Amino acid sequence: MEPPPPANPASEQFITLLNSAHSRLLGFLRVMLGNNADAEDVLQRASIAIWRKFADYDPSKDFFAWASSFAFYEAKNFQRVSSRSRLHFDDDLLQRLAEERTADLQHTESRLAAMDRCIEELDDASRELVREFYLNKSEIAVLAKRVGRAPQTLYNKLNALRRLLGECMKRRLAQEA
Amino acid sequence: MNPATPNEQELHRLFAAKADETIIPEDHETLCVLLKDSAEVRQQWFAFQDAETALLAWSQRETSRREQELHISPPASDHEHQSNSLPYNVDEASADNSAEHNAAAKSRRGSQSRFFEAIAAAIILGTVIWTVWPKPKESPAPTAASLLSRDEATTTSVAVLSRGVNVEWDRTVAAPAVNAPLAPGLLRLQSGVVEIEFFQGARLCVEGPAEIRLVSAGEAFCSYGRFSAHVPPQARGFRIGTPKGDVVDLGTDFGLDLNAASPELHVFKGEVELHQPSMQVRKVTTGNAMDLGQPTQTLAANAAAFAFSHDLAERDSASRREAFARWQTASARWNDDTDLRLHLDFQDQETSHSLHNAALHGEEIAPGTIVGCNWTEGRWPGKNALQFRSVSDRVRLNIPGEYPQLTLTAWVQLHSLSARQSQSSLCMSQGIEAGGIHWQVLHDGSICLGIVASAHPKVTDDYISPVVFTPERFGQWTHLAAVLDSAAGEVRLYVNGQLLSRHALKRSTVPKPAIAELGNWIPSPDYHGSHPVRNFVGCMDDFTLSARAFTDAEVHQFAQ
Repeated sequence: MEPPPPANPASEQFITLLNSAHSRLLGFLRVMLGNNADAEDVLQRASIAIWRKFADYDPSKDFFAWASSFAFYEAKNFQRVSSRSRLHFDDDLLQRLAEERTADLQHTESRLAAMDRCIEELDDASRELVREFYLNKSEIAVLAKRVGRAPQTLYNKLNALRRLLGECMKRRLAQEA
Repeated sequence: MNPATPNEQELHRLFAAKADETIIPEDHETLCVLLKDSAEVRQQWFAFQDAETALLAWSQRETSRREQELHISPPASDHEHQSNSLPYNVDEASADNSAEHNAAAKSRRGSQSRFFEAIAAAIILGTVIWTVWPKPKESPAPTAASLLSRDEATTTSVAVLSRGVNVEWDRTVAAPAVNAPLAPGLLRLQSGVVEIEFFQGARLCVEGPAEIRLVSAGEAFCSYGRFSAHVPPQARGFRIGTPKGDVVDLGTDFGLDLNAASPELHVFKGEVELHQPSMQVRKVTTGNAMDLGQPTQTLAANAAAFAFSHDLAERDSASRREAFARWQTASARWNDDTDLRLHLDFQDQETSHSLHNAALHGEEIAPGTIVGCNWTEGRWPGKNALQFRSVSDRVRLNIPGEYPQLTLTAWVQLHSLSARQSQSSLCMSQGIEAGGIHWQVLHDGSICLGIVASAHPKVTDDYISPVVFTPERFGQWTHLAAVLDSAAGEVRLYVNGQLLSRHALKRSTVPKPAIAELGNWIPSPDYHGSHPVRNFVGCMDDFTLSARAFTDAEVHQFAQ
């Protein structure tokens, strides 16, 4: 394993570029992998590949477009070697999702902004359930125990909220458009 | 055979099951076919994933906002007080803040900034073995943990709120104070002007109403409002996202008006790149402006439209002078409270070695004597405060009498805490005498009110709050209050006017402060041997002692 090169202007530039593309790369990976944890995982691996090849990057070209190809191959790789779940999207589907998501990412920020407003419309108890769930996804059973509900009941309630929020988001976006 | 397109509810169920990794193979197969066959389903899948991103980010921000609001985070297990000497006895924290819960919040919060810290540090140090990076599921947020020593303090901050004039925040989102470090997340300014300094070096003036989401030390997303940015060369690459495209700064001064009918970008100096979806990158240079809705036309930059950022320093001073005037009026009113026995307002001459007692009904308590210490500016220009730095700095007080009901308040600006020093004195009675009061900051940043129940054998009842002083709070003026309410059988601890914790009274010892010190402690004046260091490092202003248990509302008023 070769050690990474010492700090230099290229590494600063790399950090700045990767920093500014981070949320889009994560959004790109999420639709292929289905969840945030895997997307974060793959992005970490991809970042190493991107850094190793950074000397080949042409600064006049769009960084995201260049970096996302590494992310794509890393996602494919991840699915091949990951033993956690065998339920993956196949390569054809990945390819199609990747192509369409690149253009779709321009809508991400307005979706996030719309959703922020939708959350505010929820009552306190629902907001609390959402917060608890997203902070600690694997612990729905623990959460259910604490509030004295059956895990499935709680999960159903949560999914109803997610759907409600998703509809609110769409409605707001339609109004703004 | 292709499944029929299900209704929205069923589609959402499949999406959620896939995202939560609870999907069964048959459903997964159905989902794959639906995604392959329908562009519409793929669009919905993208929107679903963005919604998930928004909900995760909101949950992290909300948790962090609550912690900041109360300025607390419960002690981590490796920081817990030793149970025999300092029992951790928060009977009831004022908010739902179970330790397990917060630990989870912390581990996920600010994942992006930590991610880049890790990458940046790894490149700079050139020593990290990439393959041993911690992996998700167990630790979903990539951390720089391998670069930190076990107990090293960490921060998720990316910027600091450096100035503010007539600021009205949407408090349901966040309401940071001036000098507060800012973590990634949403801020909504209803009115007023604030200045945010990003750690990367860019300075952004924001005029309300405005909405801004801090993304990293070099990036923000602005939904609406007017913004004026100064980006020095070292912050080159500073990026502002807007609903109409991204603005990337190449070292310059520029203004962004998102409140205009069509958003406008004005460049006063240097060069700015405009990145818009499905458009070529455009450059806007000195003296030019661009309508983001019609980016083909170049207009003349209009500096006058961004005047709010030019006189910010002057308006900031004026608003600080007004705050000082308000304090003078309020202070005169408190001084006449019949239960207020001691009010050190620190408005003594800067050459003075004593602190007068401004309380009108505090004849029994003589002026305090300053030992060491430096005079310094307090919360506003014209307001004095005392700075405690060395182990000798202290203010000596003599507080005769008994206080079955007692309220202590002070404004403090803590500068640091030493891991080798278990306690820093706010106000501590000399030695260990029955009835002595020991109000102090513990080494982990929690606040403790101790009442000595018995001198021989030594028994102290300690009432300890959750952690208040994290490194983010160092250097910020913070209002603290401790209330001993023997009538209600409890002790209450407050920070910035908010109830922090409530504790059942362990014993009905009547406090007798007697000889006490602000900012320090000694066992006795004739003590020869070595004794533990208890000095406070920071500034203090407006110390009060009252013979009444303040209500929540009164403490809140005092903290204004």
